[in-house]
This record gives sequence, C-alpha cells and structure tokens, in this order.
Amino acid sequence: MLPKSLVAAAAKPIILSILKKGRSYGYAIIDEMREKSSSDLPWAEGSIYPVLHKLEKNGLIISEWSLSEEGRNRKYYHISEKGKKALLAEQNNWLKTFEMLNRFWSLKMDNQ
Amino acid sequence: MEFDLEKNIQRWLQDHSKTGSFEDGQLAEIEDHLRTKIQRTIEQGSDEQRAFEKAIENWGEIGSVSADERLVNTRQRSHYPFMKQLIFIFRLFRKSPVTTLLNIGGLTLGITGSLVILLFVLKENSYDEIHSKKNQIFRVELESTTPSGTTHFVTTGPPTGRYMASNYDEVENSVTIKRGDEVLVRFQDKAFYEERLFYVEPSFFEIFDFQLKYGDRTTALSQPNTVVLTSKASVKYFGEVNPTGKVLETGGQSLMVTGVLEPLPNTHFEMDLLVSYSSYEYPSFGSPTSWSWVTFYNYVQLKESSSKESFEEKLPEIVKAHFPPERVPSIQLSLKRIKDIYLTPSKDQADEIGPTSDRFYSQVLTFVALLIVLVAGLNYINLSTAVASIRAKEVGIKKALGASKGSLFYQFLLESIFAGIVSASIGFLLSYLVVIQIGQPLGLDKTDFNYFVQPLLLASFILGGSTGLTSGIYPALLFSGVEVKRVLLNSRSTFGYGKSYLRKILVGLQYTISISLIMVTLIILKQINYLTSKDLGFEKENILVVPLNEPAQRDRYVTFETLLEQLPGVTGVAAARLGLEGLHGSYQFVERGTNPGEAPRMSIYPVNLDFIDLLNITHMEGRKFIEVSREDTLHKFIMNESAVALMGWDHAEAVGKKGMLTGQGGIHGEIIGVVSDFHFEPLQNEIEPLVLWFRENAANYVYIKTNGEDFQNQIQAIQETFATVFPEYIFEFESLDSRINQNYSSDQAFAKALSIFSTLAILISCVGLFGLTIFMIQRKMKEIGIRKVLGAKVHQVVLLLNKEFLILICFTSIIALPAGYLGGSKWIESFAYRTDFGIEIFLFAFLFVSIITVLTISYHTLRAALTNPSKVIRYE
Repeated sequence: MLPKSLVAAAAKPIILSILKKGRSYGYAIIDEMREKSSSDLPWAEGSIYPVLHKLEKNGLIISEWSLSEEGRNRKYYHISEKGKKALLAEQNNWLKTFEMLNRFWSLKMDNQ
Repeated sequence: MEFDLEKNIQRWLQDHSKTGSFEDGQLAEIEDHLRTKIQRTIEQGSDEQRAFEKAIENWGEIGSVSADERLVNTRQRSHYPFMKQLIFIFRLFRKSPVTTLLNIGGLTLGITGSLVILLFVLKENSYDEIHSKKNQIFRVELESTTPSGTTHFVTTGPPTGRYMASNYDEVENSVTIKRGDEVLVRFQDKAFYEERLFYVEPSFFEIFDFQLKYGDRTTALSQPNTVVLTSKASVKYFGEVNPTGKVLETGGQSLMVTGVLEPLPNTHFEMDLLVSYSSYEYPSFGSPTSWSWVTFYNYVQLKESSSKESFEEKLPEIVKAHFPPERVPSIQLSLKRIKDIYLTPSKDQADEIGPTSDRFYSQVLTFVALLIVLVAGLNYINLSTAVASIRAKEVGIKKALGASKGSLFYQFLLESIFAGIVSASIGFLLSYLVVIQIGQPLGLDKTDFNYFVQPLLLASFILGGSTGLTSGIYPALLFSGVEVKRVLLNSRSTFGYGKSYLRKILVGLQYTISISLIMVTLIILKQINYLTSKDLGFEKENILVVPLNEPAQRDRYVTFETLLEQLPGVTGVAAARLGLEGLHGSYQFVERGTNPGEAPRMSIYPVNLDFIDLLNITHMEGRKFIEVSREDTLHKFIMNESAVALMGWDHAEAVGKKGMLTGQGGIHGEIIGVVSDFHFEPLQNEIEPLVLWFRENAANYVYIKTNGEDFQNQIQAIQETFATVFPEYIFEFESLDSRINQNYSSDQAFAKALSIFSTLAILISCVGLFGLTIFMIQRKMKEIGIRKVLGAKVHQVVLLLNKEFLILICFTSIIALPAGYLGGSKWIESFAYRTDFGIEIFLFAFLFVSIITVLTISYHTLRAALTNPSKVIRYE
C-alpha cells in the first residue's frame, strides 16, 4: 500500500493519462485506476472529485454534462490542450525522479 | 423495517450539502457516482441495502472529501483577493446596516457639501478663462487721490489704449470700450430698455476670444452703425432666426446687426449689445483726446515677450506726459490682469463693467469645505473605532486562522476606501440634486454642473478615496494590532474602549467646528439683518422708483408729477438724477477765493425741489430748495454734515458760503442749507461728503411715495398715468427698499450658502453622535441594568450619560468661542457700519449644540434605561 501523500501526487498524471485516451466520468476513472493499480492505491472513491474539480479549475480538463446509458445526467471530463502539455511535463518529472532515485540506489548498491 | 434506498441516498447527499463545500453541479455528480456504484453492486448480486452500504464505505469519509473540496473551491476564489474582500465588505454592510448607513451617510453628506463648494470655486475661478491670450490681457486702471480720499477707477480716458499700443513696443494691441447710456431699442413692435450697450473697437475680437454664432469676427464691428448682439439679446428681438442684416432703432440711430455672439462663457463683461465704436457720438463736454475724461474701459494686450511689471514701470511717464502738472502726483495708472477682474470686489472701485465677486467667498467656502470633510472623516474614525469591541472578535478569529497583520490592515483599509468610494458616488449624484434645487444662493445651476462635470466626477472619487484612506488608517492600525488572546478570551472585551480619550478628542474637534461655524453664520446673519433694517437717515418704505431714461421723457416730468399727485394713495412725488443705489459722480468743491488745486472732492446728487422732504431727510440748518428756487441765477447747494465738517465749518457758518463745483465747466453756486448725514451709499462705505444740487430737470428717477395700502391698485394707477404721459415708452418700477437691498444681495446669498453648509456640518456631526451613542449604550447596557437594579431612577441614568458629552461640549467651547468670534469679526470688518454682537451669539451656538446632543443621547439612553434590567443583565 502506497502512502497517501504519494498517491495524492500521482493522482494528477494518472487522471490525465486516463482522460488522454478519451472522455470519461468520475466513477469510470476511479474504476480504471483501481483496476490498473491493483490494491496499491488506498483511495476513498470520493477523493477523486476534489482532484477532478481542481484540474478543471486549472484548465487542464474540461467537463460537460450529458445523458448516461442509464438515463441519468452525468458529468463527463476530457483533457484540454493545456492538460496534454501538463501531462507531458508530469511524465517528464516522474521519469526524471524515477531515474534519479534509480541512480542513487544503483550507486548505493555499487558501494556495498 | 424495510430499507428505503431512495431515502438513504437523499440523506447521504444532504450530509454532503450541509458541509457547504460543494458548488452547484458537484452534488449532482456525486449522486451519479453513488447511484452507478449501487447499480453495479446490485448487478453483481447484492441487495439494495448491501449495495448502498458498500457504496458509501468505498466513498470514504464525507468530512475529508468535503474538506478537500472546500480547499479546491476556496483556493480558486483566492485568485481574486480583491473580489473576495469586496464580497466580504458587502456582507458586512448587509449584516450591520445601521453602522454602514451612519458611516456612509456621514461621508456622503461631507462629500456632497464639498462638491457643491468645489463647483462654486471652480466657477468663480473660470471667469475669462476662455481667452487664449488671457495672460497678456490687462485693463488699464486709474487711481486718483484727493484730500477727501482715494478713488480707484477701472476706467481711463478715451485715448489711453490706442496711445499705449502705438507708442510702446511692449503693447501688441488695445481695445477701448465705452458704456452707452440706457436707451430704448426697437425692432418693429418690440422695444426694450438696454442698459448694457457698449461701444467697442473692432480689435475687441482680436484680443478676446468671444465666438460668433452668426457674422464675421473680422468685419463685424468695422463699420459705423453696426451692432453685434449676444445670443440672449438676439432671441429677445428676433427669436431664433439669424438676424444679420436686420436693423435696430435706438433714439436717432439705426444699427444694422452684423453678428450674434455664441452664449457667453463666464466672463466679467456683462453685455447685451456691442455697437461699433465708430458709431459713438462724443458729447459736447467730452473730447476723444481727453485723458481726464475717465469713463472708458481700456484693455491692452502685451506682447508675450514683455511683462506686466516692466510695462507698469513706464506708466508714470505716460501720466506725466498727459495730465496737468498739478494733478500728476495724485494720479496713478496701473494694469489689472483680466483674470483678476472678476474676483476684485466692486465695492472697492467705481463703474465696473459687470458684476464681480470676491475672492474672499471662495476662500471662506474652501475652508468650510475642508472643515466639512474633516468632520465627516472624524465621524468615520469615531464610528469605526466605536464598533471595535464588536469587530475585535472577527479580527481575533481571522488572526487565529492565520491571517497576517498586513492582510488585516489591508482589509480594513480597503473597507474604508470602499466606503469612501460608495459615498463619493452617492455624493456626486446628490450634489447634482443640491445644485439644481438650492444652488441659487451660490449662483449655481444645472449648466454649471454640466460644464464642470468632469472635474467634479474626478474630485468626488479623489475625495472619496482619500477621505476613506486617511480616515481608515487609524481603525486599520487599531484592528490589525488586536491581540488574539485578549479578544477571544473575554466575552465582551474592553478593546478599543481604553482609547476613549482619543475618541473624546475627535468628538471634541467636531463640536469645536460646529460651534464655530454656527457662531460665524449667526454673526453674518445678524450683520445682514442690521444692514437691511438699519435706519439709513431717510425713509425708504413705500417709495417706488420709476426711471425716466430718455431726455424727451424728462421734459414731460412736471405733467407726470401733477397727474401722480392727484392719484389716491400717492402722498408725494419727487425726482433726482440718481437712484440712491450707490451710484453717483463726484466733483471738487472750490470755496470762492480759495485754491482749486487743494479743494476736496465731494459726491454730487442732483435733485429736484421735493426730494429732501419726500425722503424725510432731516433738515438741520438754513433754507430748503423750495424756499429759494426762483431767487437768482446762482446754483443752489445743500451739504450734508460730513461735507460741512470736511470744509471745516460749523452748520450755521456753512449757510451762505459761495463756491464752485468743478465739472461741466464749473458750476457756481451758494450753500443754502445743511442736512443730516444719510446713507446714500451701501453700508460697506462710510458716509461721504455730499452736495445736493438743485436741478429742476433732474428727473432721471421719479420717487413716488404712497400710503402703502392697496399696493396693486396703486401700481396699476401709476402705470396708467405713465402710459398717458409717455405712451411711447415702457413702464418700469422698483421699490426703493429693494433697490437698496440689492447692494447686499451677494452678502445675503453668501450668508444663506454659509448657513446651509454650517447646517450640513452640524448634521454630519449629529449623524456621528447618533452612531456613537448607539454603541456607547450597547456597551453600557449592563451598567445601566445594574444601576437600575441598585435603585437608580431613569432620569439619573440619562443624566449620567449626558454628563460625559456635556462636559466635552464645555471644554470644546473654550476653543470654539474665540475661533467663531474671530471668523465673524473678520467678515464684518469689510463693512463701515457693523452690528455689535456679544455673548448671546456664543450662548445660542452652545445651547443649540448642547440641546441636539442631549436629545440624541437621551433618545437612546431612555430606550436603554426603560428596558427591564433582568433582560440585559442576563444577556451579559
């Protein structure tokens, strides 16, 4: 199980990545997250909404209401151009972090 | 009990909604999530209850989701801290309407008053502003000193301007203007008496920038017998059509209209008809080359390269070259900047070309405006700090939640600036209403407001913003410095109350200003009342003055008089050359056998036989005109006491003296009597030496005394008589009383304006006092309650609270008394005859302010004192 702070930090690139494939909605997003992360994400489902709203207010994703298959009003999200750029930057940052950590740990191993 | 899915979903949503963290739409999104989840779980085989429980379990804690959501939503708003503050201020205003109303009301009144005064000052200083060469245009004026005093003429001799322009390099151009006599002007069946007819040289339009609506500026005044009309005069004769080419008839002259002026801007010229100078016919006694015939307005335009001072240095040599050697030392020429003409009071000089004002008015009112703004600002500070104890808690909580001192300072400052701006907006609109409703005493109307609307708008916001800013600094400092522990631990903190000595000083200042202003206003009103009701040494009641403007009318005076005397109610008829409103000429009186060079100057009043008796002027010595009228060819003079005293005679000695009045080639005559001094000039001036000169044909003004009953019918009868004798002329009349009171009309208007503004200052102070009392009593509810429980009577409680303020008023009076006294004395210094005022003025102001204070305080205190003590004590 990952610590909460790390999950929170990862939420943004994860959501953006999901939306890059096409529009989706809160329940489906969290479903996919859970599916892809097995049990590493200790997230309450409700927690996704504040993140979605924040991304929307920052202009990274755009929402629209439309009718769901079940016949209910549903809010769908899709990624904006700004969001795509932000996702690239996030990917970059995470990869760099990953490489950096990797280097530290490799060094450590060499020393041992 | 059966599980109700729908009810549970709604309850769960309600729990979210209660946290207040979710915006519109967000709850609907959550609902969709929950329902989808439940549906999927049911599809997997769970029952409704189980599915619901699983859904909310997976959802997580409502509290933590809503906290996250709140963070997202508020962080979004904090991108606009200014808007957030404004929203806060609006909520604050809505929450405490009384405080807001008092705060904004006070500031609004202050700004309104100041804007009206500003408009007045702007207008006063806008006179002759339109002329592009205004800094180079000067009027040549003349000062003549004789043993009886110095007279400042705004006029000079006819050659003055042209001589200067052609002989001095400093002078670029000049224009000479001569006022025409009042004359009847006709166009077809329309006829009006024109007092403001001027003969002007063509260079008038080269020097001044008056624009023509019709006609050509360069040629309009170049030909004889042409006239340019003001737009007002044009409408009067011709309606709205272009009148150029039409002909006006005046006396023996026909004047062709060659131009119409655009509506006049604010200018010192008061004119209706401008006739070409070449149409002017010099009278037999006047020569175009005479430097001593001081009745022409001469304006010079200096070159840009030359200065007023350097040209003024050359004026003595002009005097030397053109005046008789014995007069040179007593004559002084000077230049007056055109911009200064309007603001030089006409009572200091003779024959101004139009009405003038006094810089003093602008200065006094500007000072009053500052006082009003000060009072309003003090109010704001007072009221803001008075609510300190209530708002301290708000500040404490904000601080506890992490607000910095700086952000709180900013918040409170913004609040006061905002209040200032709101007041400015309302004040601006209100000042418009004030100007159109009661702007008249200040000579202000809608046109003025529209003309100056931009500077006024700008000023209102600068005024609002800066008043808000300066009066907000102290409360902002006070609030941002609040100690959290102190205000949060005490349920009713004494915060801000400890500083009450400061508040006392502020309230004291307001009292000082109010009391002084009331005193000054009272003194001025008393002086004006004195002026209009003072015994002038002659009778002015029930006397009508009818002007006979044309020589042809004066020839028929005797017929007119005879018919008038037969009218019922008419008790006497007399005539004089002048109208007793202060205008008169002056000559030197040379006693037979003395040196004319040193003879004193005296005012001359040509009057007919009955004048002295009709006006009930006290005859003191010698004979009356009626007794000597047909005696011999010598002219007959009656002197007033001052004239006799100036000659160094006693009354009996004066009678029978012979002498000559200089003027009209010398008027030789004999003094036949002495009358008491009477005020033939406005009371700003001392009674001057006067010679009443008997002239049978001095009938420019007919004085008709009536018994004062049935005024309407008497006027009607007089008018009918006039029409019989002078069928071709127009009947005009005025009461002597109102003619004389016109001398004080600007003072009266000013007094009225000042009383309005004083009232305003007092009103603002009252608003402040009202608010202050509310808060003071709120804080003292418990004290009042306990006192009552311990047996205090209602009146004792009321007295207790009043005492504090009454002591304050007493203290402030110590400053206000001399301030108001000095202000009032300064004003009436300009009058030669002054009312005396004593302690009663001060007492009135003191009592007035005290009574208003007591009423305000008692109103609230009584309400508080009558409340059942159990309520307030328990409340505490």
